[in-house]
Parts: sequence; structure tokens; C-alpha cells
Amino acid sequence: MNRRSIILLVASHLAVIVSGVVLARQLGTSSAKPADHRSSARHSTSVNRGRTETPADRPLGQWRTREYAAAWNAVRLGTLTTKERIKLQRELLAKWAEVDLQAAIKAALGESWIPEAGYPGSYVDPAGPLLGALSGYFVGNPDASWELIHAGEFGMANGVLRQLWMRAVGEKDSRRLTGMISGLSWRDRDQAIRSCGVALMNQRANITYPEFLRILTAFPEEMVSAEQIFRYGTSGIVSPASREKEKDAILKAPAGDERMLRVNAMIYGRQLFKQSADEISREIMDLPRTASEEVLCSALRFSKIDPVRTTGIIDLLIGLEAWNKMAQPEVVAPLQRFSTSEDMAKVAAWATGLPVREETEDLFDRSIEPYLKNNPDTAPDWISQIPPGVWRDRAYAQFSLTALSGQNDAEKSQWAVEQISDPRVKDEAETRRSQLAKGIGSKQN
Amino acid sequence: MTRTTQILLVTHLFALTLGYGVVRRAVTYADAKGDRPPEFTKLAVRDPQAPTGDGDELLADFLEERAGKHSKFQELKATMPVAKDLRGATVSAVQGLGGGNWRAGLTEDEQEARLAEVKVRVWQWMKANPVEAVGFVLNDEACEAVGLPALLDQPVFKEIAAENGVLRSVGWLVKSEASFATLCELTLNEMRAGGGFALFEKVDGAIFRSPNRSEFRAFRAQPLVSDNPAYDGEHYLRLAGTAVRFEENERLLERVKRMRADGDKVDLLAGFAASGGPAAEWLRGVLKRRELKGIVAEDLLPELDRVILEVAELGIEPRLEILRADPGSEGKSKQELMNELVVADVRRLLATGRDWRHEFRYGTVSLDEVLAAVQTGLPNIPETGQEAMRVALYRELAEENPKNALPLLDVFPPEKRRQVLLDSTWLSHVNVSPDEFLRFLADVPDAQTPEEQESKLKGWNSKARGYLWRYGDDYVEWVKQMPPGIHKEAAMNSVLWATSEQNPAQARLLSEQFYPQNP
Repeated sequence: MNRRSIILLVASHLAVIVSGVVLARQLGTSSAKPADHRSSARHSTSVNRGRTETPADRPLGQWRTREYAAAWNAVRLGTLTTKERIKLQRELLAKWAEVDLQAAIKAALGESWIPEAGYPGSYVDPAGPLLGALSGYFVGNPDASWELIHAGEFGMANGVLRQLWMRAVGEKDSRRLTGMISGLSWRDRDQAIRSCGVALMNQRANITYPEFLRILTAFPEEMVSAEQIFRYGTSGIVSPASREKEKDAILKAPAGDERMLRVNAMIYGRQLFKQSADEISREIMDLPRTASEEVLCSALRFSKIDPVRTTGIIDLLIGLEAWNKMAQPEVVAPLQRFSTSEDMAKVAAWATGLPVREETEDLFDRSIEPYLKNNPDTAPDWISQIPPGVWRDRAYAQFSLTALSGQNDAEKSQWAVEQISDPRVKDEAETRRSQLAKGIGSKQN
Repeated sequence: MTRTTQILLVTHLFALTLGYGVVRRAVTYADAKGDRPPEFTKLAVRDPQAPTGDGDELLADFLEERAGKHSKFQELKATMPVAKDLRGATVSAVQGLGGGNWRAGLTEDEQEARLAEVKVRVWQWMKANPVEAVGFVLNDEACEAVGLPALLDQPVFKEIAAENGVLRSVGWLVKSEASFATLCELTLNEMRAGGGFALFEKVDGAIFRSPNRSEFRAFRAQPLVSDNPAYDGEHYLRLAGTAVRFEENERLLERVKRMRADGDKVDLLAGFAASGGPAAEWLRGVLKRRELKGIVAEDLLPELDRVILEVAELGIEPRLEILRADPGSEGKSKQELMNELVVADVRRLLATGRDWRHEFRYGTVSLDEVLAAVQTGLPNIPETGQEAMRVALYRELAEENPKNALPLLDVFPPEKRRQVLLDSTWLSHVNVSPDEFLRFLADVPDAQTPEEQESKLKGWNSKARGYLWRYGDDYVEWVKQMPPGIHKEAAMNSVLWATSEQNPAQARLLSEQFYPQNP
């Protein structure tokens, strides 16, 4: 090989290396959108001056991802309040997502997700304070963003991103989200249904309640439950004027469709929120038992705070021997809402007459708890007047807990455990008491 | 193709790859530096003063862009001659938008550019006669069709009102709900700049003489949505109360007596009490003397006590007195109540003031600096409260950077230190990912008793609901992939009970996956 050939060879290789460098640099910026000539006055003026272009000369939509990354990293060197920092980061993320969604998501995930206000009582978004800034991008680019999230790039955080995507897209395009329900896991399906339900409730959905109801009921019960249909798919359908119509729907429900029977019963029960227990008893006389149980639970869920009405409806459930309903939140929760001493005493006295069964134990405990908490001095005397047996033992067990949690009185708590006759209840009470004592001791330091 | 040609092709391809690869690696690394989640173990050696390249300048550019300092509106405002016929020019500009569908197919930037001329025309008209200009914008059909009032609030209404002052602007600001937020913000700014409560009263008087008073009352009952993070998410009357000077306390009370809505009275008083120790002390006296009897509903008064409890400047003893009167405090010792106050003070200081947690996370500030800031910010913590302060601070900072927070516990005897760490598994690390929690657990001392073991594993239970809420199925999968051992057992069991709360049938299926039965 002569000298000229060698020089040519070296030169051509060098030229190719340089081409590689240029190509790489161009590709490195290819995620930026093409220049928008109308959008930035600064862009045109800087070009006119003929100097080298800097990021500041380009609109934010044309910044490169590494420029956003550098600006993002610079945030941590500033002296800001938490709210200022979060606001700034959210603004950066929203614009960064337009250029490089993946990098924006990773940056947000790298931060702590302590809620903005950061102390008890403040609203907590499971997505944390930052990721919500991407919602706008998800809505504008639903397919691309879902594809990226679905690819599983973000490890465990894919879960929160899917949730966020469904919340954002559900609000703007519920119809699209309903089309995805069949392919989702049960948790994601629940989120999708909830997102559409919330959008409908806020009157922002692009589907109607009847459409949504049709979509939900097309799925089998193991995929969409009666509770989901009732909670998210029926709120806007009924009005108080259609009560009789709803009762008719229950009575004429096609045989075998127990889910819709239950949904109709829940809708009907919701409309009985003002009726007394006696009135409700007459309303359900001609209904099938399953429907009656649902009507009663639904009437309790939307109950006003009235001990006579609440305990009266639970008595009706007991009359139907609906034991599987006894521990359900809509049955138990209303018993703890009473705020006056008189109401608490009424409910506690009623509880001592509950049938003694395993299914009613939790109901008993929850019914007497507010009274015991509110009357720490007279409660021991009140308990001693309960006839000996399960309820008296459980009342002492419950008192041992309220004495500790409410008054921090370890001695009284221990005394209450010692009054229990049944060894099984006593053992259980002692375990719960000692666990609570440990928890209280630790919390104080 | 000859052998020589083949060799040349391969070597040139290699050269191309070499050039490309060197640059891409550099670019990818630069990008990745910003993307990678922080590695706690490296933070200790991180130089907080290390340059972030041109990050500072880029951030400044970003902020300027977002503030619209270089927007088309600002450019046109500086260059467009003022029209002789202000009304005619505005009408023409609005017509130029093309009606109610004017946004169709336009990007955010393009919309802003199209709107710039309208904004400038209205701005020029408002400079000369704001009342007339706003009257036109609010009543003209074409303006309504394009949704102009809401689009003009920022920056046109805000600039003009800030220039003229809120008292000269309240008359037209209150005419549209679109400018209510600006009205509130400017009032607060001017109160804080020296206008005080007198300014609030004048503005409030003007608002309540306007036909829109009901709309404004409904508006102020909701939290403000504001560009100013100090105002955003807060209630206007609370912020107004905070902006009242202490010496205006009696005037404030008189005003409260004349107000109608109980919620408004509480907001104003609570905001005032939150402004500092003297205001909180004054309100405490008012409450003690029952001067609010018949003025504020009895059931709302505990809210004022709660606000006073949050004013650390008031000191421990007066707040202990309030806390003791709370039924929930029955049976608790003085030390326990003080600890509660101190823990809440530390958490509030870190959540509402300077972002110490974030700065500590990245090593921008040291542990000593944060500790000094807390000691300065909470000077009234007595000696007996110092331990609770350290533990609370540790539990906050450990969520950001557990290793660097550890020295906070060095002053404790070994047993106390051990107990704090074990209990922190469930009293701290609430806002961290399961990966970070698992890393933290590795640094917690081995349990030596069944009770300690129980405490160490308790965190999985306390966090299960939150993890499932945030990560859903992906947390379940993560648990399945955990290395075998007691933590995996605890995590699996907590997932099972938390799932059974939501869906018992799915919990049973999951149980079969976690614990497959032998055939």
C-alpha cells in the first residue's frame, strides 16, 4: 500500500467517525419537536443576531431532555418552601413530558412522595404530589402514554401510573376507558370503573349513566359486582320520584339475574333514607329475601343519625337472619356516629339484647364502644348489670381497651380483663390489651 | 465484492459506530444523571455546591418563560402603537379570533400567540379606562363566545389592578367571577405590604355593595387557586386573618362580631391566631374569657383551640393547658402531652416552611444545618422535650435519607437508640417505596426478643393498605419476588388481609398463590 492510499484510508475513517459523532448529536435531540416559527419571538430575534442558539432561545417545547434534567437537578440547590418546590417541579414535569415522557416520569419517581402539606389531616394523593402534573399529557396523548406505561418500564411504579392515567383519561374520555375494562386486572378494573363513575358524578364524562350501566351489566358478576354497578353506575339515574318504579323493577326482575335484583334493591333502599324502621318493614314485606336484605343495608348506608331508626333497621335484618350482613361496614359504621351521651347509651343498651352469635360479636363491640369511651367512670357499673355471659365478658374486654386508649389507665384496663369469666374471651382480651399497651408506649416516643 | 472491499466496509462501519457510540454514551449518561432515582449510599459524599452544568440558568430561563416574561403579549405590548379608537381596535381584534371555536387545532403556544393582540388591545383600553373596557369585555357577545373574561384575568386584569391598586380596581374586579382570585390575591398582597386590616375592610365593603356579593361569598368559601404557592389551596379569609397586624386585633374582633357566617368568623380569627405568638395568646385570652359566646357557635370553638395549639411560638405551657382540657388527653402524663406537641411542631415546621426535607435528601444541607434550623425555629422546646424533638426529626429525615439521618440518634443510650429504630419501622417510612423501606430494614438491628421481632415486622402491616393503594397489583408482584424470609412472610400476610378488606374472593386466590397446597 502506497503512502497516498494510507492517507486516504486514514482520512476516510476519520470522516466516518466525524459522521458518527454528528449523527449521534442529531439523534440526541430528535425527541424535540420541529421548530414552531410562530411561537417564539425570542427565537427569531436571536437567529437574526446570528449568535449560537441556546436553550433559552427555544420555546420550552423544544428543549432537549438533558436540558430539562439539568434544570430539574438545579431545583434541589434552591432555597424554596415545600409548596414552591412542588409547584416548580410540577411545571417542569408538565413541559418535560411533552419532550420526553419517560424521563419526566423517572425524574418524578426519584423524589419523595410525601404529601404536599405533609402532616396528618392533609389530603393524600396515592400518586404523591408530583405525578399528577403528567395528567394533561396523558389526556392529550392517551395511546402513546398508555403504551409506555404498559411496557412496564417503571417497575412497581407502573401501578400508580396506570391509576393516574385512568383517573386523568377517565375524566376526559370515559368512553375510551370503558372500552378497556375487559382487559384489566380486578384492581385496575375497579379503578377504571371508579374513574368513570367520578367523571359521571362531576358531569365531565362523555358517556351517560344509562350507557355506562349497559356497559357494566354486560360483564359477568365475577368481573363487575352489584356493589360496583350500584355505586358508580346508578347515581344519576334515579330520582326520589321514581321510588315505585324501582320497587316494580325488583319485583319484575328476570329470574336468575340476582345481581340486578340486588342493584335495584340498593337503589330502592337508598330512596328510603327518610323512612322509619316500621315504614321500611312494610315496604319490604312483598320483596324476595335477598332484595329485602339489600334494601335494608342500603337504607342504613344513607341513614340519618337516629339511634331508633338505625337499631330498628338492624333488628329487621336480624329478623331476616341476615347474619352475613352483620359485620358489613354499612351496618356497623352508623352505630359509631352518635355524638350525644343519650344516643350512645340507647345504642349500648340495645346491643345487650342482640342474639349471641359469632356474627354479631363485632356489632356488639362497636355498639358499646362509644358509650364506654364517653362514660369511663360509670361504665364498670353499667357492665356489671349485664346478665352474666358472653356480652358481659365482651363488654369488660372492650372496656379494657377503651380504658387504655381513651384514658391511658393501665390499672383499670387490667382490672377489666380480670372480670372476664370465659377463658377464651379473657385470653383474647389480654392479647389485645397488651398489644395496645405496646403501641401506646411506643407512640409516646 | 473483493476481500479488500469487505475489510474496508467493516472498518468504516466500525469507525462510524465508534463515533456514534462515544457521543451517545456521553449523552445517555448526562440524561441518566437527571433521571436516576437517588442512591442514598452516595449522598454522603455528594458535594452540594457541585455545579449542575447550566442547570441554574436553564431553570431561570424556564421560570421566565412560564411567567410569560417573553410572551407574545409582552412583546406586542412593548411594540404595538396605541390605537386612537380603543374600542374599535378591541372589537376588531376579538373578531379576528374567529368566534367560539377559535382554539380548534391550535397548540397552547399558538393559542397564546393568537390571543396576544386581543390582550394588548384590552390592556391599552384598560390603561385609559378600565371600567369601560371591562364593561365591554363582560357584556359583549363576541367576547363571551370566545371565553374572553377568563382568558384576560392573567396577565391583563392582574397587571392593571396591581398598577392602579386594589381599592381603585375593586369596582371592576368584582364584576366577574373570572377575576375574583386576582381580587383576593391583590388584597392580600396589599394588606401584607402595609394596608393591614383597614384595607381589607374597605375592599370587603366595596364587594358587599356590589350585585355579585353572593357569588363572591360562595367563592371565598372555597380554597384559592393561585399562582402564588403561599396562597394556593388556602382560604381567602384565613390568609386575610394572617395578614392582619397584631395591633389591629380589637378592630378584627369588632368586625367578627358583625359578620354573619360562623365559618367566616372562624376563618378570620384562626388566620389571625396563626400569624404568631402574640395573636395566638390574645385569642386564647378571648376564648378563656368566653368573649365569643353568642358570637361563634360553640361547636366551632374547638377549631380555634386547634389553631392555637399549632402556634409553637406560644410556648409549651400555654398549649399544654389547652391540650389537657381536650377529652382525648385524659389519663396522659404531662410528658406524653408535651411529646405530642413537640412531634407535631417538628412535622409542621418541616412541612410548611423551607423545604428542609428535600434539601437534606440531596445533601444540599447537612444534618447539623437542619437540626440547627429546627432548634432556631422551635426555641421554646424545653430540655424535657429535646428527646421527642430528635426522634421526630429523625423519623422525618429518615424518609428522605436514612443513613444520613442516623447520627441524630447518637446522643441516645444504646437501648433507646435501638428502640427508636425498631419502632421507626412502623412509625416512620410511610412515604417511601417498598424498595427503600426494605433497604432501611436492613439497617435496623436484629430483634432479640419476640416483642422486638413483632415490632420490627409491624411496618409491613401498617403500610400494606398504602402500598396497595399506590402500586396495586405491582406491589403484590413485588412481594412475590422478595427474598425468602420473615419479611416476605410478613409482607405476604399483610397483603392478604389488606386485600381481603377489598375483595375476599381475590384474597383467597392470592392466598393460594402465596401458599400453594401440596398435591
